[in-house]
Amino acid sequence: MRFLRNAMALALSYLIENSRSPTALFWMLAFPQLFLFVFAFVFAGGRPNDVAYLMPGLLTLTTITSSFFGFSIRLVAERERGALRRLRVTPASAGAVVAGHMLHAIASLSISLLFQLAIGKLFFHFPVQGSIGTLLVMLLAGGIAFVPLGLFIGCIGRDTRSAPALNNLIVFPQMFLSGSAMPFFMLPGWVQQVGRLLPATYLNEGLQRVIIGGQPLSGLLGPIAVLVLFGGIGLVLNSLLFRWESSDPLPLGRLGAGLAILTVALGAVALWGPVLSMAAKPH
Amino acid sequence: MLIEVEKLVKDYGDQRALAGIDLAIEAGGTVGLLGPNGAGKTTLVEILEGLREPTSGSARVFGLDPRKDSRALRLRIGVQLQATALPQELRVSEVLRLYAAFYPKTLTARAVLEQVELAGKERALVRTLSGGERQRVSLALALLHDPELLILDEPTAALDPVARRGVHAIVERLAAAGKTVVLTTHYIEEAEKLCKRVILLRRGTIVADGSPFDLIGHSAGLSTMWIEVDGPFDPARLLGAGAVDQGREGRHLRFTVSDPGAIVVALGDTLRAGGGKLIDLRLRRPTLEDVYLEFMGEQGASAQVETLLNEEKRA
Repeated sequence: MRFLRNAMALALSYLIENSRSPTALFWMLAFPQLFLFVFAFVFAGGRPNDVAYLMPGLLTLTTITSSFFGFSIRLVAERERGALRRLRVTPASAGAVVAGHMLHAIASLSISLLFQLAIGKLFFHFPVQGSIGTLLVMLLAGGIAFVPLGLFIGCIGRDTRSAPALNNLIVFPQMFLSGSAMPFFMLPGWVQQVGRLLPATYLNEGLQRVIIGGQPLSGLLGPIAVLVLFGGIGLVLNSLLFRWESSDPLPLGRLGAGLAILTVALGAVALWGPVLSMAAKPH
Repeated sequence: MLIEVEKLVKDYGDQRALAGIDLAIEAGGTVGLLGPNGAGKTTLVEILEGLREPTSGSARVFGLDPRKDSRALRLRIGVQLQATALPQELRVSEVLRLYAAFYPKTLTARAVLEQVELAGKERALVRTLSGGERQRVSLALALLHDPELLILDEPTAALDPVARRGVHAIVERLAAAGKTVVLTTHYIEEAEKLCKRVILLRRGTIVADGSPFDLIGHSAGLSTMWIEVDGPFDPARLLGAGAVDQGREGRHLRFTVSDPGAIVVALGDTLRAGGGKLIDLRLRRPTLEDVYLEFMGEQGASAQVETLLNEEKRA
C-alpha cells in the first residue's frame, strides 16, 4: 500500500511536470505525428487502407522511441541532477521510485499512442479490423515490455551524454529489423531470424494481427506472451541495476547476471516464439 | 546519545576522507561541523544519513545503523542536502504534497511554510523562486515530517547575506523549539552564531571540539588591548605582566596580551601609582576565526579563502 502510494505520488508529479513543459509536450504529442504524416502521405498517399498497413509500425516506433529516448533519459537526468539523491533521504524505497517512473512512463506512452491513433483516424480514416479493446490491450503489452527495457538503459547509462549512444545501439535494430520502418517480409531470411529475437517484432506482429488481420485477443496470445516475458526481464534488470547516484559504481556482477537471464530469454523466444504472419508477403 | 560514531574511516580509492573519527552528540541544540573543503564534513553527515557506507568503524543515530535501518531512521531525521534538485515545474505546494506521500504523518503545508517563512508562496512554481527561497523549500522538505534530528549540509552555501540571515533565524527557532540540528558549514561566523558546540575537522580528523566560548578560551591566540590615559603613564607594570607594546593608534596605546585579567590588574596598579586617569579601555578577544586559523594552519586557511571566493561568485 505504502509502496503504491509512493509510486503513484511520484508518477503524478512527473505527469504534472510534463504537462507544464512545452518541450515534453512536443515530444509526447507532436513528434509522433511527424512520422504519421510523413509516412501516410509519402508511402500510403493518404489512402485509408494503405495507412492501416503503416499504423502498426508507426505505433511500434512511438513505443520504442518514447521508452528509450524519453523515459530512459529522464531517469538518467534525474540521477545526474541529484533528484534521486533527494528521494533517497526519504523513506521511499528504490522499488517505489522505479515503479513511479514506470507508472509515469506507461501513462505518458498511453497518451502518446491514443493521440496518434486519434489523429490517424481523424485525418486518414484508417480502418481497424479488430476490436479497439483488443488493440488497446496489445498497445499496453508493448508498454509493459518496452518501458522496463528503456528504464534498464536509464539504470546503466552513466550520464545524459553517454546514455543516448546506448539507446541508439538498441533502438536502431528494433526499428529496422522488426518490420516497423520497412516491411518484415522484405528483409532477407537471416535478418528475419535476428528480427525474431526482438520484442519490437512481436509488438508490430500483434498490432498487425489486430489492425489488419482483425484477430481477437485469443489470436494475440503468442506475441503478448513474448512481450510480457521481455517486460518481466526488464523488471529484473531494473531491480538488479537501479542506482541512486551517478557516482555509484555499476554492479558488473549483477549486470552479467542480468544479461545472462536476457540471453536465456532470447534463446527461449528463438525456440518457442510464435510464428510471424508478417513474414509472409501480403496478397 | 543521539549520534555515536566510533573509529569511523572512509576511503575513496586511495584518498582517506575520514581518518578514524570518534564522536558523540546528545539531543538538543545546534552542533556545527566546521572545516575547509575536503575536511570530511559532508562525508561524515552522508554516513549518518545512510548515503555512504563507511570503510570501517561504526556510526549509529538513535541507536540505529544508518544503512541497515535506513527506513526507520529516515522517518526520524530531516535532511537538507548540500545541493537539492527540486522539480522545477511543480508548485511549492505540489512539491510538499509529493514528499508528504513518503511519510505516514506530516505537518500541514501551511505550518511548514510558515516555519520557513514562505507562507503565501504555495502556488509559486519552483523555477520562479529565488535561490534563498529554494533553499527554504529544501528546508521545508526536511521539516515536513516534524523530525527529531535535522542534518543540514551547508544550508547557506551560495546565498546572499540577507538570505543567509533568514536561514539563520529559522535554525535558531528550530533549536529553541527543542530540535537537534547538525549542520556543516565553512562560514565561521555562522558556526559561532548558531552552534552551542563546534567540531573542527581537518583532513578527516577532529582537531577541536567544544562550545565557541570554550574553544576561544583555550585558544593560544592573543587578545588585543587599547588603552587611553590622561596624564602620566608608565607601561612597565603591564609589560612585566606579559603585555607586548604594539605602539600607538591615535590617542590609544595598543598591546597584545595573553592574559587580559593580569594586565587589567597591572593597569590598575599603574594608574594608582602614577596618577593618570583612564579615559578608554578596549579589549578584543580572539574570535572563533582565530581558533580556526590556529587549528587549520595556512593550508586550511587558504582552502577556506578559496571556498569563500567560490561562494561569492556563486551568490
